[in-house]
Amino acid sequence: MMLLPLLVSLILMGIILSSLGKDAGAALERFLSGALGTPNARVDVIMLAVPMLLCASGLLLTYTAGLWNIGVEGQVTMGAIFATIIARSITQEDTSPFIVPAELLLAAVGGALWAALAALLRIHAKVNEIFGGVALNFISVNILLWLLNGDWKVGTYPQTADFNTPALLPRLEGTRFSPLGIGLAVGAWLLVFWALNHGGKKLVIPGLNRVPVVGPILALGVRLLNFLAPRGTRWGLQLRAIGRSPRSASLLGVRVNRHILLSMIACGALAGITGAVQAIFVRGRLSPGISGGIGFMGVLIVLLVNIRPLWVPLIALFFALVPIGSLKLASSLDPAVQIDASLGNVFQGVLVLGVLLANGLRERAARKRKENIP
Amino acid sequence: MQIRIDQITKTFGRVRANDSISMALEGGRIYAVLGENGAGKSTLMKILSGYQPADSGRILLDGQEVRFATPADALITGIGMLHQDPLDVPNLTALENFMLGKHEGLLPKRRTALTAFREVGQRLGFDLNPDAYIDSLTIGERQQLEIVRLLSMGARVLILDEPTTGISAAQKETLFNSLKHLAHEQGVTVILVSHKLEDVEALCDQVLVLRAGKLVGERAMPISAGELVTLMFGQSLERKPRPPAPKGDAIFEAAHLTILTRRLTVHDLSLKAHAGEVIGLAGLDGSGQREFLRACAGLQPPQRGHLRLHGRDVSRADYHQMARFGVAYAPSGRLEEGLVAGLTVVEHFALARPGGLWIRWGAVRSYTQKQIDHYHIKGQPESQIQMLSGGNQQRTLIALLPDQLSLLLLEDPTRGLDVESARWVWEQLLERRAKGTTILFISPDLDEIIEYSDRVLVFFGGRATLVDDPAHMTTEGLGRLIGGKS
Amino acid sequence: MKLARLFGIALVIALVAAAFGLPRPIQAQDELVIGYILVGPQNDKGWSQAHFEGAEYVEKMIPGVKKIVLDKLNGADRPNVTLEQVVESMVEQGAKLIFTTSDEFGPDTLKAAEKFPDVIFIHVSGDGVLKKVAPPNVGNVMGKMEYMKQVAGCAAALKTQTNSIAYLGPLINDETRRLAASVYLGARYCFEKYRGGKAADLTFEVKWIGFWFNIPGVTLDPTEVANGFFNGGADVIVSGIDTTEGTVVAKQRADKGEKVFAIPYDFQGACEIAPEICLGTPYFHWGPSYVNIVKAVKEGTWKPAWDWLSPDWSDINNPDTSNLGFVKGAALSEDEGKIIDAFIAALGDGSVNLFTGPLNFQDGTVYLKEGEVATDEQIWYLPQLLEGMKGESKPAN
Repeated sequence: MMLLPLLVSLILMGIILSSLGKDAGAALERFLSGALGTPNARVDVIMLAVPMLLCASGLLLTYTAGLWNIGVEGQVTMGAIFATIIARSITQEDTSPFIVPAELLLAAVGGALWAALAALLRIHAKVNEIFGGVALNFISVNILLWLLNGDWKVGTYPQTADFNTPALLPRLEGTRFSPLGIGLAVGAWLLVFWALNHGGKKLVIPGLNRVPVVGPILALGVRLLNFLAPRGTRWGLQLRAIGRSPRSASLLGVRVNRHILLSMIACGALAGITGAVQAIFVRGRLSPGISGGIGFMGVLIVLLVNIRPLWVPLIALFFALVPIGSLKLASSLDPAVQIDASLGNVFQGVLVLGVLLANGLRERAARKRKENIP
Repeated sequence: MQIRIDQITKTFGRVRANDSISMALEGGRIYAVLGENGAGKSTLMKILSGYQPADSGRILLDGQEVRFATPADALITGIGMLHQDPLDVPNLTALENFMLGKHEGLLPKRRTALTAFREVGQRLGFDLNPDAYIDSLTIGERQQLEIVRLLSMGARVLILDEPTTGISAAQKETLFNSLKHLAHEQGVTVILVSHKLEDVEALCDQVLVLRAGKLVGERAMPISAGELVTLMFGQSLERKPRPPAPKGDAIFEAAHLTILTRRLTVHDLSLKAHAGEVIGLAGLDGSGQREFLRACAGLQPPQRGHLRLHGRDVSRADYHQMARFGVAYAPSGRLEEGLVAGLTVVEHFALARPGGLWIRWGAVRSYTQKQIDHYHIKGQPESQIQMLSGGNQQRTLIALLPDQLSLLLLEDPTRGLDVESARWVWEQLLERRAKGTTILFISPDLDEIIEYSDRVLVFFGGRATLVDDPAHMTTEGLGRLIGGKS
Repeated sequence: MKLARLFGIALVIALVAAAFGLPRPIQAQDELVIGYILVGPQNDKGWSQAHFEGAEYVEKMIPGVKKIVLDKLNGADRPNVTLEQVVESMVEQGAKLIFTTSDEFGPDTLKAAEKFPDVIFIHVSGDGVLKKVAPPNVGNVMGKMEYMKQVAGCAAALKTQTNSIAYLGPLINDETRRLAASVYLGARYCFEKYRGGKAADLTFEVKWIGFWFNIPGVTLDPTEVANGFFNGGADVIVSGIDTTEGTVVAKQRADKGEKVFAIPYDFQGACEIAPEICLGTPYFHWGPSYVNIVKAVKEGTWKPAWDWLSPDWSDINNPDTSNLGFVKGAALSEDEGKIIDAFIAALGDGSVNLFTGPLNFQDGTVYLKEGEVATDEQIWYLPQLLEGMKGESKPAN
């Protein structure tokens, strides 16, 4: 099912490139070698996948429960803002080991609060979470700009000062590689995977150990998962039931509203941590557009995998290739493949269309089947 | 316009909704198409008005065979259908709705439309404000608007689906007068789809009765309500003698219950149910029995009155609290409300069984297997629920019910089941009854009601009559009550 | 499902193969690769385009030079890309010299320079070298736009009938303050000298929209601000922002019969959209200074410096020698044009220096004493607007 949108987008991109007089084959080669050819670029891809994986893991919960948490962008933004409350007050001399955990925790609280607002609007005011989310996204952006143009502004531009090192997510010396960041994302994904595990089935991914860097970490997690699998969470099953049919779930004894709230809060917390990663890792400061569109990316990933947790890390890595690879294309010495990086955005846009198209076709097929039953 | 329906057949899956139906309808007359839910009348009317095609058979208008791809096609040839919920556009005005769907080019002529609108409205005695927004209109007014629109677009055959649900008595009178005028003065063919016998008696010239997809009778009005009910429900079975139920204490009580919904009000209902008693709720669809059952389950808060369970006032308890008090509810739409399509059988058991944060899949799986064996469910624990047949879904639904229950509320427990499965379901239910569970059930099947109920509550227009004297428990007796005759 | 799994495996294989299997580009010996990092689009008809044209000029003038240009490095266009990553990508392709062409790239440029000590970084409009916080492989370059802004102010003063000039400012910082002050000084000088007016009779108002260009909902709307200026009695708008709203509004009002004028900024061709109301454009021309830097780097004679370059006074619009220029607009009369030429000449030979005391700050405190001439640093770090100017000196927090 994921094949179709990806294939369609690749073909469309080829057509676009050729029509611009660029060599599509060479461009693809440069794209891939750019994004994967050097250790630094590989690290960038992996680290860009970190916020995406975090965010998508949270979204798996809400989408499983049938909630279109479009407000995730705002939740990421609020997470970044809340993390900054601590981060901007940290000096170069602070050495407490609790700084980063406190930032992440506060960010989770911020994101969760914002998500809870959307959930409460839906439950008590009957505002669809999509519309509530869009409104809350808008509000969060304005809170961010208000802070950045007001008390938090340092220097000329609407942004805070660079955070001091103790406030940043620790990275390996001289690189942009943060094992803690990867641990957070993979951990969140494994937790969600376990929570949503279907009927205690064990997970087998052949050849995982042979994948460099991420493989062994994932493999370890998978072993842990399989150890836990026979004890599934009731919550995941309840969310799945709500997602499939809230009426039936309610009649089977599921407290639908309560779980809608809980899944939104959990997703918001992960989105908040995503925002913290954006602030204390990717940018190292709070600046406009801090969410970086990661929330929408997460939505796209979850839709693309059709809410199957297993595929999320792979797709997140694939999506992380796009900005890094297209940056390499745009900053290429060879004019034949020097392509404006906005084409990367076009590629993403085409992917979205592909996903929607595939979903539409799927639904149509399902309706056709249904019509033959009274 | 004369309509001939010739050998129309339509099947959905294994269900034959219309089975070689043939009938002829003359212009200038008002017909009633009668039948219980699932009798096939909606399907037939949808075929006639172009909403869905028939599998086989022909429709002839004035001797010409016609085929409709869409409702618009049907309307062009003169057949218009008025739905239960009028399909209008809420944020437009009445006049704008009236103008919709007319083929007049890009710029509709508002003035001409207004004149036509007024003229048709006046002729039918409707008092419609062309500038009122649809949301501000009552259902009755929206119906009137839709009729005006259909007629102005050239409808010579009007099909009305349950038109008297949710409109006031005055509006009903206006509607009936205008329909009579249309039929008898202007030669329009009017088809009324209904199961309200009083409406049929007040309005119609001719009655067509469907049962299980077949045309089972055609009568000229007036005929007796009893005869109509017999036609609708089939041959009456006399109640088989059965040992009187050992009556326990009165555990459940409804006192002066009033339930208000958008469509219907259930008035002042009182009932005392005893432990180990089966009470059948009879009535034509939409008479209030479903609202009452849902109120008992905590799904529909009553406006006035009280519900008591074991002496405790549970009038304000919600569904989940009721469940804790030992009340269970099994709805009729199995896959719409009750079972979750996409989840497996074992997941249903995991969901329905109480427990903490964790699910021990090993334990749940063995319990599921036990239930599958015990209830003879043809399926695997890992089968997705929607892959099971209707009968096995029903068995699963019953297997999912908690063991210890005070009150069991069932909607149409044997819907779509073959005789064997239906009897099996009732064996399980009666077993629970023997353990002291009180059972309230709705069934459209009078035989089922007569066969299994200790007492019967007959609903008509939101009012309930309790029948506990066996003499009245015949199809004839109940039929009169169902039809609104005491 | 099977298909999907197959596809996943294929994807992994393809990625891994791409990661390890492809050859690196090989570089010729005498070639110099230069990176240019732009904040806006390379065709913005403003600041970034001026840099892009500078890069093309370098390529044309010096053989064996190749350029890598990355534009639109800002939070909106490339939300998840940092300057560090861009620099890295350029260095990987052999870049030995990188121009970072926006003020806000300052801190990140310094960090990148520490990480790549063998690469020379030129931070345009920055002051890291002046402040002595930059590592030895960083240089700063900027043009003395102050002169051209004084010329713009003079042109405005020659034309105003209401004795009221407006300045459409971007955000508030040292650079924008000193440019606004320069416009004022030029206007005051010419108002007194050529119009016979008194400084006190000249109204000069500055309004800051909040950024270099309009961001709806974030900045003030420059179109509204410009209309507000004209409604308030000003008849010349001098623009300090990257976009053309001031000129557009002036043209609209002029079309309705009002006698109003505008002076755009940044881009040589900016007058073209409304020549009949355009008094001229001060603009940057980065080519010559870039060529000098590149030559020095190629020959190994480059030294870190904070360069604040003057125009070529012999011909400020000579594309091969001047770093700054002023194009006279069609709305200037011949006589007014001659005055402007004379004013430019006076600035060029030093006979006129408007940053000479006595000058007071907006709050009345002394900026320059009687006869004192401002140093470069005194001008560069102008802390307030000057006495006689209306408008905010500092962002309102």
